[in-house]
Amino acid sequence: MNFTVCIKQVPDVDVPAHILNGEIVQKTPRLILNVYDATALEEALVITEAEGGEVDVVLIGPEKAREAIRKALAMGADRGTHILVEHAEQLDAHAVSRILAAYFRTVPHEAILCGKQAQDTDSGLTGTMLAELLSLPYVSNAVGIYIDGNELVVTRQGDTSQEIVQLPVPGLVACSNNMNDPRIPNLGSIMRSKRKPVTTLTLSDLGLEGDFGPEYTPRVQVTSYQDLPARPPATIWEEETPAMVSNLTQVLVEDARVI
Amino acid sequence: MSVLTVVLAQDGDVKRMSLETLARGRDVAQKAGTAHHAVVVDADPARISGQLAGLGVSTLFGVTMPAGEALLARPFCEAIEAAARKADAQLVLMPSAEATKEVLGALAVRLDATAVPDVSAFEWTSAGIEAVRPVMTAKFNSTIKARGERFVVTVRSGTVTAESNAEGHPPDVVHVSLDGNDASVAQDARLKELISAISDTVDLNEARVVIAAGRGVEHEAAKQLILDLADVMGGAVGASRGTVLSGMFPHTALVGQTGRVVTPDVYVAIGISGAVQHLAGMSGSKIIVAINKDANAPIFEHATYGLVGDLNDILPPLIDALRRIAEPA
Repeated sequence: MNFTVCIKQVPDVDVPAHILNGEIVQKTPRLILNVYDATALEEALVITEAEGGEVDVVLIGPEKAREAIRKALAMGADRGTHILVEHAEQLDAHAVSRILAAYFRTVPHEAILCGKQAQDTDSGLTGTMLAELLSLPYVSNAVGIYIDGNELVVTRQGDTSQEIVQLPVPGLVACSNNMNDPRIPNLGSIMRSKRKPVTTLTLSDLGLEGDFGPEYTPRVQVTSYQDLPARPPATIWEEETPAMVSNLTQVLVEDARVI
Repeated sequence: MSVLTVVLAQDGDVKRMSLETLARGRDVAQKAGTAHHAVVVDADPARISGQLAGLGVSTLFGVTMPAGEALLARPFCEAIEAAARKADAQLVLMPSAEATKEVLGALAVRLDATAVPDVSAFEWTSAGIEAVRPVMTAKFNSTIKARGERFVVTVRSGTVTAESNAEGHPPDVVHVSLDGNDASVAQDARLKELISAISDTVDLNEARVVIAAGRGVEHEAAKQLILDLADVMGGAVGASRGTVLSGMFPHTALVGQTGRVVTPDVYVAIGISGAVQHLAGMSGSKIIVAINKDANAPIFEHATYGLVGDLNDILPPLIDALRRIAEPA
């Protein structure tokens, strides 16, 4: 079975950041492959290594975002497609899913995988929007995938249960990152990946009008960023165990009233 | 034109997060001067109606569907879509949960609506929606503006108080049937198997108290202390990513960015260092108690009360003390 993994380049959320004039500022900003997408890719690689098939990746982003495609190729993907959009940070899920849908209408596809959300926007919409636009069956929040004949068997983490779903292909799976630990490419695989093909497409190659055409005008825009509402400072006890237990018991019984 | 709130129920019981969303839906509809309706997808929708008395719901649209089928994205999405069309809803509100996250994007496409996920606060005016929602793995908030003719919004739990006026009338139930011949998808996903969470424990999302275990819980004896504390406090058991990956606790217990977002009255984080991904799932809790032997653990910066010490020393006397109060001899 062949896999296509939709990937995104995002700011590394582990780099220290603060708010300045309504913007998020990182002192040493770093862009990385979205970890949820890396998990989706890892799963596609593990499956195809065992069962055969090829892995494509597709990314929407500016010139610089090609680094994320290179990372995916170094991990083991066979080829990449870069849909070049310079101001991709202004695209919302509505726009991104429509551009991806236009792309998938031009290429054959079997299993489409993506991360269940991007680490920067926390939205979690693109995968299920894309599936709906392509009229594909889908499962989201996947924590396990295997192949069963011509279908995928996907374990999904639901609210109170795990649901094991038989998913025909073509179909789409939006992946949780609780599925595997994405591999770190070694030097050999990085060198070999440099020969792997990357195709660059423009929006007009996909039959879409230029920047923010009518089919994919963003509907949601961020107007400002803020710190999370502050919690009152913590009361920390670092003393003998009996004293701490007594303090906590009092809090639970008298303040929280949960006993 | 109306506001339609999606009600989630488990075995016929309306979930607390739904009561919160209904309260929000009622207020938003009142302000906009429109009707407020609700929809439930349940094996027996009529059993839900009585629980919505006093929540300002005019009509409860009921879609009859066995629980196993409603867990699949497409039938659940189609059910909400059918009710939204029947209600002529301009705004569909859903509690933010795995079940609703799975259909939010697809529902927005089907209704040609603008999707606004996971809001803690929002305003709905003729200009659209202005909302506050998390970004950067819930490290920061963003204020967003959304435009469109229709909207689908998911509301984070714990951001509004659930309230009901028991004197109100239960809403009338209008049954909505699906035409069942949606041929847009040639072959659809099918439920193969359902692995339920252990049923004799308390549901994480509904619990007033959550006892959560992290990597500091290193062996079976320590795990038993977690279960004992949960038992005496009537709490649900949660877990960090490390203890789920190690197999000590089930996936269903995972709290965090990739697991459940919980907002109990008391969250007790035991042996949890406080990674950003974990904080994203519990930082909305009213009181956070952290127990960790590392005084520099980041969890202490987010706690209401912190105990610096070994959980294996602290938990036995704590369990004893609480048990004496809960069950006086």
